[in-house]
Amino acid sequence: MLMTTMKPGHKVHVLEILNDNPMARRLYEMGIMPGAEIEMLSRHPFKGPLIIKVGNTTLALDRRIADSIVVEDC
Amino acid sequence: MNIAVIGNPNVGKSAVLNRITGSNWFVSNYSGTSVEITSSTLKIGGQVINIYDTPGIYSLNSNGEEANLAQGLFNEKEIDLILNIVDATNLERNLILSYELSEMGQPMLILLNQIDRARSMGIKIDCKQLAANLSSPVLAFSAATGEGLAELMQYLEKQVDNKGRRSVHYGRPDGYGDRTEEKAQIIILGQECKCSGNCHNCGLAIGDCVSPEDLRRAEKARQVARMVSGQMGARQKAWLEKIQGVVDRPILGTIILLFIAYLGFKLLLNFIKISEGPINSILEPINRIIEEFIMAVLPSGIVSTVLAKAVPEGLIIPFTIIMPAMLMVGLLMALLEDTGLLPRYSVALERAGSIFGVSGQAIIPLSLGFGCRTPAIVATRILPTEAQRFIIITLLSIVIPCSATLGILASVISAFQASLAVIVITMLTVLLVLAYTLSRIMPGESEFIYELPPLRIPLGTNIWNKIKIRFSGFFTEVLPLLLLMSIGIRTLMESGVLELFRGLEGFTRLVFGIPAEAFVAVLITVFQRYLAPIVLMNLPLNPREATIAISMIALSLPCLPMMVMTVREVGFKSLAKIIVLGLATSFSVGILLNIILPG
Repeated sequence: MLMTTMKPGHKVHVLEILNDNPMARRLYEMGIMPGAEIEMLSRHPFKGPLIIKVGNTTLALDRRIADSIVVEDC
Repeated sequence: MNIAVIGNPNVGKSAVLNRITGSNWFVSNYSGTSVEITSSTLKIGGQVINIYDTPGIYSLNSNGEEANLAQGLFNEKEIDLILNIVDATNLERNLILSYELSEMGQPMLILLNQIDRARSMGIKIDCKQLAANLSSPVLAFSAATGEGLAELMQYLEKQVDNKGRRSVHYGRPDGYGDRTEEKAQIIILGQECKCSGNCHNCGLAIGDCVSPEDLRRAEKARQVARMVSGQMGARQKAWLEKIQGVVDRPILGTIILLFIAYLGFKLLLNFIKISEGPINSILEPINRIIEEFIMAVLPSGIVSTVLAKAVPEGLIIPFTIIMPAMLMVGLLMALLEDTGLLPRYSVALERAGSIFGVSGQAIIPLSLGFGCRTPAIVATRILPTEAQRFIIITLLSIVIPCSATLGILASVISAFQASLAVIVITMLTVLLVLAYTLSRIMPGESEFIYELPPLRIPLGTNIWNKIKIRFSGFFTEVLPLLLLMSIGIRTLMESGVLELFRGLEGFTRLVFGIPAEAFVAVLITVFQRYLAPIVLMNLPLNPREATIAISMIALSLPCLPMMVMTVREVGFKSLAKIIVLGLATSFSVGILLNIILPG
């Protein structure tokens, strides 16, 4: 499933970052890469940012980026 | 001896450096504060150590100015030791950079910062095992408590000794002999991701892809992070984390953040109002002495009349209005930064901003601008695209009032009973219209991802240092400039030169609805926006004229220091565009208000 569909409190593993995403490098640097564990903390309304937790870091993420991140349940 | 300090954003690099050197590094609880390499010196055992602080980077191969700066440092300076600051609570991510650095083959010391926080989170790290895995010494450290400082100093002392001995024994006749290889290696490392054959994602722009080498490092970092860290039993959620949980809630959090901002503005205005009386009562007798002194010392004539009036006048505004405003804004901004609340405003305002084509991240430079706009221009470097940078710098230049301007606007508004509502609405409208139009003309909206640092209790010394730095401009820039301008304006008035502008009276009255002198005040803003009201104060304006004149002044050109910074950051062409836009905005505002406001 795509990361955009995750509910708050949901924990998943990253399966893959869809190809040719110009943000791939940035995601990698933030710790979002295949195998990483991610928890959805909250979703801002009106298609606003998603707040996620990677390791002990809290990140704010654009929904359009989340659209290209494929995840699976832990 | 040269030390390069390198680490991820938000690991507390500057706080560590403040611990070590006691200097004035800006410590901020959001990514991308130090966007330049700053250096500082430390004396240990009679040897001078140069410490170079680099901006926070996630990887040496990142596609950004920060990573280029860090790489450049290695090419320009002979680095003897890499001080890699690692966030103990985020080993997995931080170690990726550590591995990149260790592959450079330079001596490296790893500082496991925020070890106290890691412990309170129940994380236990085996430093010895970590050191063995990275083949570099590892020191547990806490910038907040000072833990590990003595050990660090001891280590540096030993390094200094070693280096001293080495140079005595071997010397370095050609200086660079053994460094060329290292340099070559650095350059290759820097190009690792910018190749055409090494990446699995070659359709991407240079520096955007992730190479197998990167993934290998990440895997190693993950394994080692798991290997060396253990959990010390079930952990209690600290109260600060509970608060963070509330602030990070989408709707409740936004309401809380907006309420805090409102309280801040209230506090600022009240502080200026309350402090004005006491400051005035101190200043008045001093000003009388100055006036009498000038009259007594100088022979009577135009010079003594001008100075006797201008000097005391030039002191009143900076001390009673600008000084309290700069202090309070400095304090509020420092608190927002240090608690970690500032980046949360970016998230909360992301949607609202995107309607007008401004990214939520722009909130950081824009709100810094309320303190002083010159450093805010540097802070626009955190924005993802050049177009966004130009838009934000333009908004900063034309619309955002700095603390000095705010104080001065507040005082002229009340002096002339001008309409605060009209001025505020005008400024907001211009902000929105400018942002909307510019973002349509130069689209460049991009996807964002950024870190939200944990909320923390601000350190008293950090806050104090920041207020000091933000306030230092008062005596070096604000006060002398205002004094000079005050003298200049008095001279103009006493000499009757201003009368020459009377000829323009018909024109300015018809177009802008203000007298010619007030129009001159608008033109004076070219030098420094907050100087213009000095001219206004001496004019008999009615509330309507004052409202128009103040609006035109509030929405005009950037001050000189800002212009210099704009040229440095985005070039002369951009500044020229901003100046044209600023003049156009100011004049259109005057014309429109003259039409709209009832006579």
